[in-house]
Order: sequence, then C-alpha cells, then structure tokens
Amino acid sequence: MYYPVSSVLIECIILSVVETADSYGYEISQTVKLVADIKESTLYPILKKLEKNGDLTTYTQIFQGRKRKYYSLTPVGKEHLQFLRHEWSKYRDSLDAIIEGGIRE
Amino acid sequence: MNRESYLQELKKYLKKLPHEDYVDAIDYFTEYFDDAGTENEQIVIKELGTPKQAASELLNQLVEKQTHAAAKTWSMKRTFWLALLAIFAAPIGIPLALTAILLLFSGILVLFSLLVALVSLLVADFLVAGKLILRGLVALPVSFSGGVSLIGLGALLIGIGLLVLPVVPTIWKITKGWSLNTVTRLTRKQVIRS
Repeated sequence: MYYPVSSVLIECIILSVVETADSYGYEISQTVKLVADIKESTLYPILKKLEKNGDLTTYTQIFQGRKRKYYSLTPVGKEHLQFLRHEWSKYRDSLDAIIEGGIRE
Repeated sequence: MNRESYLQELKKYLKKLPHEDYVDAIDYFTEYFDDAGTENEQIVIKELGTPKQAASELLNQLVEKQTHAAAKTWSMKRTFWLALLAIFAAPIGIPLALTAILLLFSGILVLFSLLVALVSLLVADFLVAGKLILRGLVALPVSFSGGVSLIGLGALLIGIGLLVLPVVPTIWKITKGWSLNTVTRLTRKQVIRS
C-alpha cells in the first residue's frame, strides 16, 4: 500500500481482527499486512502494548503438537475498539469529504 | 541463513531483556516461523531483515511503546536497561556507541573534577586567610604595620573566597543538568520514529 499506516490505526486493526474470533500472531500479522507495510519487529511491540494495557489477554493452545499463543479481546479492549472505530469513521468521512467531495473550510 | 540460525542469533541480541519479555519475544518469532511454514522460511527471514536489525528495531519499539503508554508497569530501571540495550544493538555498531558513551562519561567526569578542584581551592583559601589573620594578630606587638598588612591580606583572601563561593552551586547544577540531559538525549536518539 502506498499510504503509511500509523501505529494507532494498526491497534484498531488488531483489535478488530480479534473481535469476532480469537487469533494468533501469524494470522493477525497477515491481516495487518493487507493494508500496511509493517515488520514483525514493529507489530510485536504493538501487540505487547495492547496486552499490557489490558485490551488483549492471551492463552496458549496446542496446535499440531506445538504451542500457539492466542489473543482475545477483553471488555476494556472492546471499549477501546469502539472509541477507535468512532474516531476512524470521523477521520474517514472528513477525508472522503475533502478528497472526493472537494469540501473547503 | 535458515530459521534455526536466525532464531539463535536473535536470541543472542535479545538475551539481556527481562527474562519474561525475552521468552515472550522468542516464542512469538518461533511461532511465527511455525505458522508461516517451512516453504515460506526464506520470505519471512527476508521480511524481518538481519537478526541484528530486527532486534534493534524490536528493542527501540519496546522502549518507545513503554515510555509512551503503560509507564506504571515499567519501572525506571527497566526502561533504562532497555534503552541501554537498544543503544548496543543499534546498527552503528558497538565500538562507535561505546566510544560515544565513554566520551560523554569523561565529559561528565571532567566537570565533576573541576567542581572538586574549585571546592578544594576555596577551602585552602579560607585556611590561608585564617592563618594570615592569626599571624597578623600575633605580630601586632612586634610590628604594627607588618601585623596590619598580614590581617589585611587575610581579609582580602576571605573576600575573594566569598566572591567565588556562589559559583559552586551553579557549577553543580550545570554538571547535574548536563549529565542528565545527555543521557536522555543519547537514549532518545536511538528511537526510530514511525
């Protein structure tokens, strides 16, 4: 993708991914990479931060004989996601209004 | 480079992280390789960059995320060590970073020595002044003019000492402020803004 994606938006994407179903590192990463040119060394600290802030909890499950860490959304994270979604739609609508609608101040 | 040697090298660079964080990070990358599958091993390695680069970025990001957000859960000490680690893992290389750190350290030492020297000078000044005044008092009955000039000299030294005295706390403040500043700036410069 041509446009850079900020780390706040990546937080929003991660929380959205795990909202419907719990997910694991690789899957989350692949989804984020659909829109953002991001490295694991950047993504992992964001996941870690969300976990520390209480937006995400983790648990380990055995998958094909090896461990896999799953991330799931907490009530705090749900609230945070609602806020981020609201902010995102405001941002997107304003951008659309300017870029497509030619709105001026 | 294959997955095993990549992870080995990454471990080397992340070893100094707090144990829990180290295990978490290594687990994450191990699982990532597992989930990507052996057929994508080289793609993953290419994407991550060299282990040194990946470790450096990881440490920087961890420091930045920590200082910006959950400051409560991260003690100052932990942040300091992480920052130090980030410096050492930085691409400029250990020798260069080490030289910079040592230079700064010697700068701080020089300021501190100047301070100590000034304080000793002042102490000596007051001691000599006291001695001169005493000598002058003792000499008064023998030679009035000689005694008075000795007392005068002593008073002059005390005056000079009192003039220089206020400089000491100022230099102390500068030394402290400067060393703290350089340490914080040194650590902040390593953080890649993204």
